[in-house]
Amino acid sequence: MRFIHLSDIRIGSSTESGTGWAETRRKELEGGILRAMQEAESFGARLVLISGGLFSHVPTTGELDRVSRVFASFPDIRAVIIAGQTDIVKRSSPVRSFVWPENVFFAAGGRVERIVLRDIDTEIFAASVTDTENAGPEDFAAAAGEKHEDSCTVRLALLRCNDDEAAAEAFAGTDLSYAAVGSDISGYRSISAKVYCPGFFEPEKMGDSGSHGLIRGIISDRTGMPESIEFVPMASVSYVPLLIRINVKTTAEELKMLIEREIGRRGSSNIYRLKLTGNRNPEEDFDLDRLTSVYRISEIIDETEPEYDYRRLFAEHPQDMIGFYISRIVSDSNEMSRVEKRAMYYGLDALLKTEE
Amino acid sequence: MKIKKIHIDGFGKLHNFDIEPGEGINIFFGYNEAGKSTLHLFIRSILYGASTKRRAGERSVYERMRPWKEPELYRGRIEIEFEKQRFLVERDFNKAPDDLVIYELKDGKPVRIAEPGELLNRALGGLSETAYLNTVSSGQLGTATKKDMAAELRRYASNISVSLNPKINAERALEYLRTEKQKLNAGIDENAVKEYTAVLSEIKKIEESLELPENDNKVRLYSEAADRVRQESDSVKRSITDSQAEIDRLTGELTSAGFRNEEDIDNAEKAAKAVRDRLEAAEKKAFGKGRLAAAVLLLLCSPASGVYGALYAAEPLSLIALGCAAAAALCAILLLLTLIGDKKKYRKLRTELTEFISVYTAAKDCDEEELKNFEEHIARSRELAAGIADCRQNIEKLDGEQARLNSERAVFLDNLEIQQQTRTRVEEKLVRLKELMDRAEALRKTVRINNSLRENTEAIEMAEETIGELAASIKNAAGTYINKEASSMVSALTGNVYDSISAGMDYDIKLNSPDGMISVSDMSAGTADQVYLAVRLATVRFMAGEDDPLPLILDDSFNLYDDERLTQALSFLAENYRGQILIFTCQNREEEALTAEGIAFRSLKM
Repeated sequence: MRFIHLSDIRIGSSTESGTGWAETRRKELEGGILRAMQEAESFGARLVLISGGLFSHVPTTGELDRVSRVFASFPDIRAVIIAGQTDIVKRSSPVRSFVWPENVFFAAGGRVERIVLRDIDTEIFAASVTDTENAGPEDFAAAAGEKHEDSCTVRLALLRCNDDEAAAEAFAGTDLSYAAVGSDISGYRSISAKVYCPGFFEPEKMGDSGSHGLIRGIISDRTGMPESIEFVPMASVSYVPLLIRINVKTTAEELKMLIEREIGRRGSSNIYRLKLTGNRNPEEDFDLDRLTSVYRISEIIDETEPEYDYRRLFAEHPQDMIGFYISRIVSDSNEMSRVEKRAMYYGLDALLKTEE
Repeated sequence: MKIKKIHIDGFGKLHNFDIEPGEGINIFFGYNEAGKSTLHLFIRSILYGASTKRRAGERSVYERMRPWKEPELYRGRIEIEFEKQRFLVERDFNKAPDDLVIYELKDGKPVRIAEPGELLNRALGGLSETAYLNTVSSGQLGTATKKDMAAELRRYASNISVSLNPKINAERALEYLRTEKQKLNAGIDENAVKEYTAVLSEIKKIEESLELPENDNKVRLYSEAADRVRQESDSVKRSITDSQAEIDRLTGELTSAGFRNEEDIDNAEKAAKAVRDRLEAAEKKAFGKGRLAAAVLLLLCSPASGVYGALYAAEPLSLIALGCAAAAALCAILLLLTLIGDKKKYRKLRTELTEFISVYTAAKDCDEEELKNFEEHIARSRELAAGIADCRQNIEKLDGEQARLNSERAVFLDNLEIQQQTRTRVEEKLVRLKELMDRAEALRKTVRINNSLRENTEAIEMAEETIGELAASIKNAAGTYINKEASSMVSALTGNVYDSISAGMDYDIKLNSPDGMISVSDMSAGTADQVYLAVRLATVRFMAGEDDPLPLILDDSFNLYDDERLTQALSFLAENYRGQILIFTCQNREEEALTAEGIAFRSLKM
């Protein structure tokens, strides 16, 4: 039995709203589910498991509609879905009464539910994160241990768990074929011989490092044992931190070219967090805002300091306001705070620019 | 500190140049291009090193003063007197712009000084180059017009007393900072912060309202319940139908049994009983042994009586006996007749009864068995009727049940409808929530920018505060001193008419007297010059100390002065400055004025 296991597509994420490319990113995320289903189709999978985080928030009926249409267009592939912390099932959630297409099963309850898919001889124990109760890995193990008359060959667990160790321990003793775990910690990992977490399908923000993609699995229809579990990287973008040093000679044009070059090297579809350090010429206007609309820059951290050579100025003006000002701001400590550095700049700027 | 001798090996256009200034006023006379400025620059460079600062695209002093011919010979020295000692201050600019060697001249023998920089600084009274340029050494003093002079004085006095640098205007610097702050504040999106707060609180409100039980999604709950109830109701309906069918069946059977209803049965039974009773009575009557016995007796008696009568009877008795015999025979006949009649009646009744019951049981007779059949038939029919009654009762109960179920279902359906409305509301809230979260994220970024703008505002405020404080404390110390010094000079100058100057961050300089004050614009040009000089000299005293004053250097300073002003200025300086005064000029006027006033001076030709 071939299946796909993924989680945390985070459709509807707000992290990039306010940028010029927010809409593009939103569509990319929504397109993720289509890409996953296409991958399932080309792999010949009959089953897609989504271990939570399909949405980044409690989904609206409209969003559920759009997603269900994608699933409906792959009627031969079953999708079994649970909710995670981000798209938690609340008492008021529309997902509790949403009618999915025939090939989709959304286990919206907090208690372990047993879903039997007779024609692929597979049963799945699934539960979502809800605001009323949550099943832990032990509950799944217990449910898997119960005897049923219509037991299937392939037996899977689909759950959300942030404690890898607890998951490994709980499933160690069971005879489940595979435990599909979703977690709030990003990055693909195999938690134990049968317990896997695919990580986030898409990175949502800076720091969502680790591989992004999905798991392709093959489980023997005869024995119910996994034959092949493989991680396939599939993210469309990565979040890349970029550090750029400038000096007082750097012009706005040079900085723009520098950024363009770096982004070009690492991929212009990636999302960048830009950090600028060093000293800059106080006269130069870098127009950092414009950069965020042209490139996929999530955030710009400007740690540059406008530089006046205050040591030199102090040597030249030991006996007047300029010298007194410098020694006042520098005061006793060797290290000036950010505000003090800025105050040094502003004061000297004012005194020098208004010289008669 | 006094400059006793100047020797230049090579500096600018001067080569192998020597000159010896004296005490008091020294007039350095030279035509243009004779090297006055070069000498002036040399003195500065000897005292502070050749400046390597470039300004506005020009070359630095160090670069400009390198001699064209013999550029390696780029050095010079001066001999100074300081604290009653003599020193040789030498710089080889070829080695470095600030190369410095100082020898102490002890009995004519040069002894190298270990810390030349420190000594020189002391000799200079700690005066920095900047201060030197702003006070002791200068080019043109003031301008031609009194108006400009007044402005110059105001500026100088104001700035000096607040920042100790005539070029630095604390007020303007603060104004500049205020403008920068305004620009930043314009950049700070206050509305963003307000909106951000509002968005967050709306998000919280919506999330809280979604937690209320009235918003719980019970659609499944109610629709499943409604379905369950409907199924129950359907089964009740079926039961009713079944019961109805049963009623129909039983009624059919009852009809076949010959009755429409229980009343019919009652009537039939009653009727049958009536007939039976009559029959019983008739039977009794018909088969009563009494009458037969009587008849038999009579019949026996009758002949007996007859025979007796006939045979043995005496007259009346035999008649009576015959009569009796006849009567007996008659009675017996009558009895028999009635008996027969009764028997007939009985038979008739039997037939009647048989006919009656044969309607129901196809009886041929009404003997015990048939009667038992009839009774059984009645009993069965009663059972049927009872059955029908039961079914009817059952149906009534089921109807009640169905009514209850229907109303239960109606409640669920109502709730379901309410749920649909709730769902719509919740969907609206979720959509709004999503919008708000997007907006919050966008605003979060603006708020971060705001915060960094706020940091800058903080820095500007720190700068403003610091400059303000410094201005106040400088004014307090320097301003007060300079004012005092300049005031006493002015007092002397004006023959004690005006005894003090007011100068400060406001732009006006005033001379005060007990009777009133005049502003600088009201002063004569000459007076204004002198006030200006007074302030300058007072500044020098403040900054370099009063002891061992540095040489005052005036380079082409009085070109624009008219004779009267010139005389006044020179007199003032001679009167008020105890150190050397080196005047570089390309005219004779200074010498002439000094001569005219009888002020001693040394004349040096370039």
